[in-house]
Amino acid sequence: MDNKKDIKDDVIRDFLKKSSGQDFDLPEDYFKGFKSKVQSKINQEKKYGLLLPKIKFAFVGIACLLFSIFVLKDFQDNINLTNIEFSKKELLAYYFDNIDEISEDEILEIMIVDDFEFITQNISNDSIKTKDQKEDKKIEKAPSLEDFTDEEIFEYMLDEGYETGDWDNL
Amino acid sequence: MSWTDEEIIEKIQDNTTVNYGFNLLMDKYQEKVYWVIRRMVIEHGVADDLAQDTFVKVWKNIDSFKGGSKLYTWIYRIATNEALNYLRKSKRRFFLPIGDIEYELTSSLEADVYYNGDDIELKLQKAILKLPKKQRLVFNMKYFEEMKFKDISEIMKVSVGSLKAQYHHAVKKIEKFVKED
Repeated sequence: MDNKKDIKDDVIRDFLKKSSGQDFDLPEDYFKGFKSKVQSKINQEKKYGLLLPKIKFAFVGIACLLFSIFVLKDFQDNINLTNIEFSKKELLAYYFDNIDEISEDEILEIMIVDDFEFITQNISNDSIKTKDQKEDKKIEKAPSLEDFTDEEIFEYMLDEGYETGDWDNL
Repeated sequence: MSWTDEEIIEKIQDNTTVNYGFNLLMDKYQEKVYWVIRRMVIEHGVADDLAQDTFVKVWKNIDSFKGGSKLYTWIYRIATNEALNYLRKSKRRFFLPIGDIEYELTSSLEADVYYNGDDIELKLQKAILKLPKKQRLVFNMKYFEEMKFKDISEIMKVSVGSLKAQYHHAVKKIEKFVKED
């Protein structure tokens, strides 16, 4: 069902009958040049469309590179700090120079660490010793006849009271 | 030769005839698209720009057109969205209340060198500009473009009943305005 039967807009149409019938105007041959304008916009879009992802990629790449440089630099600094080794003399000199700045807790901590190291060293030495002993025991085997010479066996038999004639009965 | 929408789509979907197909599409719809936008934004320069943008969007999204709706309702939908977005943006840009947009559009109508309407036409246009923008869009598409409610409903994604009610209210308001004086 079309609207013309439902909704009457005759008043408007009658009103417009008196008009010149012209309202909006256009520049001359406007639609002739329209397609070329759209085409040039599309070409621009194509150009930017291809360029934009590249620019985005480059930007993200540079950002990642800068970020990784900062992170790695910081990481390397930390590694360098942990690699520094101080001699006991240096440490003691540092403690004495800065004794006022070191709290009791820190001193206790250092002591505990040292003690702990001492204890662990002793324990590990003990454990090494017992290990060696165990290994010696393992090496000792029960002697067999092959380990003795004939002379040794002969002497042993004489000591035990065997005469030479008794040997055949063995 | 007048090409059907199906033939145009076929040409566009074929890589060897895509440009030819798109030219056919523009030949067929450039005027319709321009006028639906022009009656909404009034100024020729703005309408020209928005009509071009509409076809750029059509070109960019033609692959996503699945043929579920008619080609022309799909193109009209893009065009009307362009016009409505422009009006929304200009309202935001200048912090204008609704009444002032109507005033702005009326001023640009009177100042537009590409408007040749006499007093009667001008009065009608001023009456139309008093309508809320979606009601104005419905009135323009029905009254000037003589489109079917079913097609307008597809374009605006509003039920036919609601469109009829909007058109009825729009006609009554315009009648009231033109009868005055």
